[in-house]
Parts: sequence; C-alpha cells; structure tokens
Amino acid sequence: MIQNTAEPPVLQKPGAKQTLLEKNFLDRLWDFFSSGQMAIWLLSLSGLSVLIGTIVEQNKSPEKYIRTYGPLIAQLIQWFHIYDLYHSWWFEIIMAFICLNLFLSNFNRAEKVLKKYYHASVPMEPSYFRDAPAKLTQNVKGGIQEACLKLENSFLKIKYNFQKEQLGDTTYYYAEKGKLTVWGSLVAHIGLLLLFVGVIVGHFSGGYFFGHYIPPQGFDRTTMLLPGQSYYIPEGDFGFTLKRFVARWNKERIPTLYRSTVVVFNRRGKDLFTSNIEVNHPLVYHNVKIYQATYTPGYIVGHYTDLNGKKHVFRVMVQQGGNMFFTIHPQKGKEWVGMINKFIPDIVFGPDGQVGSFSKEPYNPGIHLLLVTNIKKMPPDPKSIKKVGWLTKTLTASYHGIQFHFDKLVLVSGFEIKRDLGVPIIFTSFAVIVLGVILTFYTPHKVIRAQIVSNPNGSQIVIAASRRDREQNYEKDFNSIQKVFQLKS
Amino acid sequence: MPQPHYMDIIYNIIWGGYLLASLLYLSLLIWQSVPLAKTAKAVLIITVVLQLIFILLRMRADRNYVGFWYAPLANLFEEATCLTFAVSVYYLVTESFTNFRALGTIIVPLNTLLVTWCALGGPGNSAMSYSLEQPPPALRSYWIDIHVPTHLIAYSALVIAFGLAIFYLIKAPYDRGSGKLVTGFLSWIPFGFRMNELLGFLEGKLSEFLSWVPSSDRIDKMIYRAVVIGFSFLTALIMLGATWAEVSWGTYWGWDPKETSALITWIVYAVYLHGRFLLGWGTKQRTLLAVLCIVGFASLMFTYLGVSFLLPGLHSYLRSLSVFNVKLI
Repeated sequence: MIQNTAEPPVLQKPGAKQTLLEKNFLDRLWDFFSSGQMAIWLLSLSGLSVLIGTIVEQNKSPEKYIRTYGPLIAQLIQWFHIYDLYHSWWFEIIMAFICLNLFLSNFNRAEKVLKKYYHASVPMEPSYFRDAPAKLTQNVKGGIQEACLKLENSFLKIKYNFQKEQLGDTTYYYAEKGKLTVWGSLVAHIGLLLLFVGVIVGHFSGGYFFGHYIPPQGFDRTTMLLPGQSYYIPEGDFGFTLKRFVARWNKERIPTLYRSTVVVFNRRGKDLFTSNIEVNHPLVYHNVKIYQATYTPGYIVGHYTDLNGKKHVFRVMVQQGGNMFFTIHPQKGKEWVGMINKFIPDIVFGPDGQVGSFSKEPYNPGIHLLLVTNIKKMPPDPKSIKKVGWLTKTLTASYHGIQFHFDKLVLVSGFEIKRDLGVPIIFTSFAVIVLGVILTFYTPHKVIRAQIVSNPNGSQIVIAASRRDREQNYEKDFNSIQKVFQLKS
Repeated sequence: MPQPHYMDIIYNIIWGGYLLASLLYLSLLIWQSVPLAKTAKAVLIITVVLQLIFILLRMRADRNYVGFWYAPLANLFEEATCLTFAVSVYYLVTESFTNFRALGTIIVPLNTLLVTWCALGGPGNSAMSYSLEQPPPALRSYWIDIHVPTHLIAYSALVIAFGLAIFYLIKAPYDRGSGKLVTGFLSWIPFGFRMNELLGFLEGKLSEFLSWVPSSDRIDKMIYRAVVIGFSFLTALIMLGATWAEVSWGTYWGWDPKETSALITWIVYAVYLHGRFLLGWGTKQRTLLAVLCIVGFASLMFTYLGVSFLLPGLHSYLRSLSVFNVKLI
C-alpha cells in the first residue's frame, strides 16, 4: 500500500531494468559479453579477419609474401600469423568470444522467450491504437460485457489465442496466432552454438590418418597407395588394400572418373568386403571415412627385346623432375643402364620435332630414354650415354637392334582418411539453424490488439493489427471479426 | 564442344531482348508513362520465357554430350545464364506484387550487363566459354542440382535488395522533405555558366520519377523482406555446400576463398538483420542499414566473380574448364 507522504516513493515495476550503477561487476560483465552490440562488433571483426584471410593467400612461403607484398607487409603477415590466419591465436580468441556471446545471449534470450511464451502480459498502450495502420473502430450497442463476449468469440473463430486485462474503464485484449515464432531466434542461435560445439568435438576427437609413399605437393594429408598395397588404420581397427585404380578422361583431357576398388580387412587380415571409392562416394566404416582425394603417376611399365630375341619387362618408379634408372641386359653377361630423363604426362610433338604437353593429366604419357653403356664408371662418361628417343604407347624406339616399348603407366591412388565425430553434431546444428530460420522468418505471427471502452451509447471497440505487419495480412481476419460484430471499418 | 548453332541464335535474341528491355526501363527515368512501363515488362517477360527455353535446351544438349541429366550450372556461362534468369523472375514477381516499376531501371540494366558478358563469350574465351563441357568428377553429383539452385534464389533476392537499397537512399531525403539530390550532388561543380535552369530541370525530372517510387518506409520493408529471403537461402547455401564438401572433399569447411567470401557476405547480412532489431527504426539507422545492403551486394559480387577469377581455390572450376595450352618444352 502506498503511504501518503510529502515525497511519494518512486515506484519500480517488477520487471524494470536496473540502472548501470545498481548492477554489480559480474552483472555488468554478463551484460557486456551477452549484448547485441557486442555480437555486431564481433561479427564485424570476424568478417574483417576472414576478408584478410581471403585476400592474403594462406600457408605460402615467406619468400612468396615478400615477393607479393614487399618486406614490411610480409613482416606484418609473419608477426600476426596472417599466413595461417584461421589458426592464429587472435582469430581463435575472436571465435571464443563469439561462442561466449552466443552462450550468454542465449540465456538472456531464453529467459525472454519463456516469459513471452508462457507468461505474456497484455500490452496496454493507447498510442498503439492511434498509430496502427489497420484498425476497426465502431460504437456498438450494449454493455462492455456483451462486447467482450462477442470479441472473444470472434477471436476463437479465427483461431487466435487471447488474453485480456482491465485498466480503469478500458478492457485491453492481446490476441495472437503463430506464437511459435518467438522461439525462432533462440533456436537459430542455439543451432549456431551447437555448430561451434561440433567444431570443437571434431577438433579433439578426430583427425587425418595418413602414411605410405611421398604424397604430391599440396596433398600432405594424403595416403598414397599403389595397386596391391595396403594400409592399416589402428584408429578404425581395420585396413584396406588397393585392388585397382581407374582414371578416365574425356576427349578434352578432363578427368571424368577416378575410382579405387579396395578390399577392407580386419586386424587379423581377413578380407571383409570390397568397395569402390570415388569422388562424392567415400567409404564409411567404423566412423572412419576414406575419400578419393587425388592420383599421381606411380610407375612406368615397359619392355624390350634383347639381341637374342628374349623379352624383358621393366618397371620404374616415377620421380617427377629427376632421372629414373633400370637395368638392361642386351645379351647374356652384358649389363647396361636405362635412364629415363624426361617424363611428359600428356605428350605432343610439334611439327619441327619439339616436344610439348597438352595437359598435366597423364592422358598420353611419354618418356625419353637414354642408355648408359659403360656402367663401370660412375658418374658415367658422357660418351657412354646413348640417346634412344621418345617412347609412348604408340611410339617405340630401338638402339642397336634392341627394341624398347612403353606399355603402361600405373597410377598411385591418393586417399584422405579421416575421422571427425563432430560432423554429426554439425549436421544436427544445420537442421536446428534451419528450423530457427523458418520459425523466425517464415512462421506468420499475427497479433491483434483490441480495446473496449464504455461510452454513453454502449461500448466503443477499437481493433488494431500489428504495426510490423502488412495490412492485407489481416484483411480476412478482420472480415471474420466484422461478421461477428457487424462492424464497418 | 560448341553448343548447337541455333542455340547461339537464341542467345543472341535473348541478349537483344535484355538490351531492349533495359532501354525501355531506362526511358522511364525521362518519361513516366504506364504504356511504356507495360511494354518494358512485356519485353522482359518474353525474354525471360526465351531464356527458360534456352536453359531447357542447354540441359538437353548437356545431357546428350555428357550422358546424364543435370542442372546446367557447371561453368560460369551456364551459371550466369541461370542467375540472370532467376533475377529477372524475382524482379518480375516483385514488380507484379508491388507495382514498383522504377526498380527495373536498376535491376534490368544490371542483369543486361551479365547477359552481355555471356553473349560476348565464346569457345575461345576462357572466362566465359559457352561450349558444352564435361563436368569434373566433383561436380558429377546430385548435390549440384541442390546446392547451386539455392544460390540462384539467395543471390537474386539479394540483388533485388541492393536495387531497393539504392532507391531507399534516393527516396528517403525526398520523403523527409530535404530532397534536393541533383542540386546537392552537382552544386560543387564549378560551372562557368548559369546552371540553375538545368539543375532545376533535372531536379524536377527526378521528382517526377520518384513519384513512381513507393515511400521510403515501404521500400525499407521490401528491403527487409528481400534480405530475409536472401539471407535464409544464403544460410541454406552455405550449409548445403558444407555438406557436399564433406562428401566430396572430406571436409565441411576448408577455408577456401569461395567459402570465406560467402561467409563474409553472410556476416554482412547477419549484421543487417541484427542491426534491424537493435538499432531501432529511425531514418538514420535505416539509411545505415540500406548502406549495409549495398556493402553486402559488393561482397556478394566479390564472392560470385572476384573469388572465381582472382583467388585460386577449390571452386575455380566456375571458370571455363576447357583451357588447354600446348606448352612446348
């Protein structure tokens, strides 16, 4: 009860916000980190950082940055870890703050949403009815009770949930439909938080498993296997053997397919099943995913016929940019060395005998063969190096009656083997975010407010639609209400 | 492989249609005539129908060449053709529902620029080749039919939001009663002769034109609606892309320039939507948000074209695939 004193006490509504001075340090800290303004600043900051990361090529050598940007900026790139920005300490701090902001703001949001959803109060603002774009005003005969009953019936008819409150002579109504939308923003933000959880879980629970062979540049997480080779994954408690690798190109030398056929075996070495791994079709087993990542020339297979007419097969491992050697027996008791000094993945011969390449794909490979006839002296005497010539699938070359053939190029298949337990969480977060977006933006939330005042002729009813909505969205509902009241707008 | 010759002819007709529609829409800047606007709309509708026929024919030609059906979105020419189609359809729907014909003075010429680039492309043009091409293995997936069309909806909505934002920035000062745009912009030019009459004439013309433009309040609501649609589909686009990347590349997020650039665009529009709820409804705040929409559009275009051409990454196949150089060693 309010006492009648000279200076009336200042009344504070139960839900009124505390002023800044009344809050303790923790409250202020909470408000600071959970505020929408903070969200905007963090989003802007992360956007700016990502922009820098997009423009500055990532994970390049210091020399490349010096060449591109000059020594000063290259130094800054080094200091601020911009060369690997997305793993830099400061970027991770921004991400941590975004997580914190999401986490704290979700608490605030949840409190508001729960209050709005379960304990909504009827807003009583006469100005609302004055400014509303769509409204019905009419004097009706009969008392307030009768008018209220009719209005409530009409709300039920158009399936609106309503609440009413009395303030003096005026009865206020707050009716709404599609209230679920109030959950939208919270659900979307919980989805975003879940996304971060998925990333963190993935960071600690998973990783890439790799080994064997030297992967080509840019594929440092790749497991390279030649047909017949196996790789055991202890983390998945199984292994696999590459049975066959097929690469196909179209006439324009564009790869149209690369497929590895693998046999999966258990720890005892027992074959379990055979599977094809292609781009867009990874093998998933024991939470481990095996992706077809790349391929590269593995070894060259060819043959020659010696002076006695005997056929010898040679296999040489491809070493891009280096010489490759194999032994040749031109006749019994004699030994030469074959030296492949050039490997062209897609060879083309120019009209003047020049050699070029159509593409980087091993579509029509060619090798250039030399022979070292005196192997006793190493490095060989240039005089003992004899030129044989270019070999392709259709081109053979001979030296003193020994015919050399290029038979095939065996490709090495590159796999990415990965386990990431965060992925299901991330996909769940996607679903939650989509649900949140649908609830926020695509669930029509209709709000109608009404006030009923008694006047000398009966009652005056004012019904107003939400100010944020389009007038025409309420046309049908207003017509239904009109029918009950027989009002005219 | 070149596309059938009759398709080249159809594309040239489409190009002509866009040029004519642009001319007619731009004429509205001078003559605000309803028959002229209706003619412009009719020309655009005919062109869009032709474009739809072209897209269907291209799908069939791709199928005959590659051997299976897929959405014709595997290279920049196909992708840009579908995008201009989507923007035009979105614009026509907006015009039909809102009667905001003046919006066409920005959207249709903008679309025409991209169509012109497509039309000037050719088999020898590595950036915009309209040859039929075999998609690489990564694109041989049903995901292309889901992920890329989502981007068409997102981008077309955000392009419309950009056009609306420009109109908001022009119209808002007029609605406030302080609109002297032409005089304001040109008064600093040190003309050596009396320009008052000309400036007054231009101001009058602009006022007449702006009488065809809805109030800034209404434009603001239209921007919000377009951004909501664009942002929703942009969110879906990024998520679908991440899901596809997980299936195809073994990682849902590889910090590829296309991904990061799309993320920046998403952040800009997320800031817009947060700003919309946090900054309030004042004119200054709404002007700031309209500017943010223009920044978002710049980011969108950088994601669409800038990243594909300037920054190497996993999405570089948006450029033409049939680039083979005979490099003599």
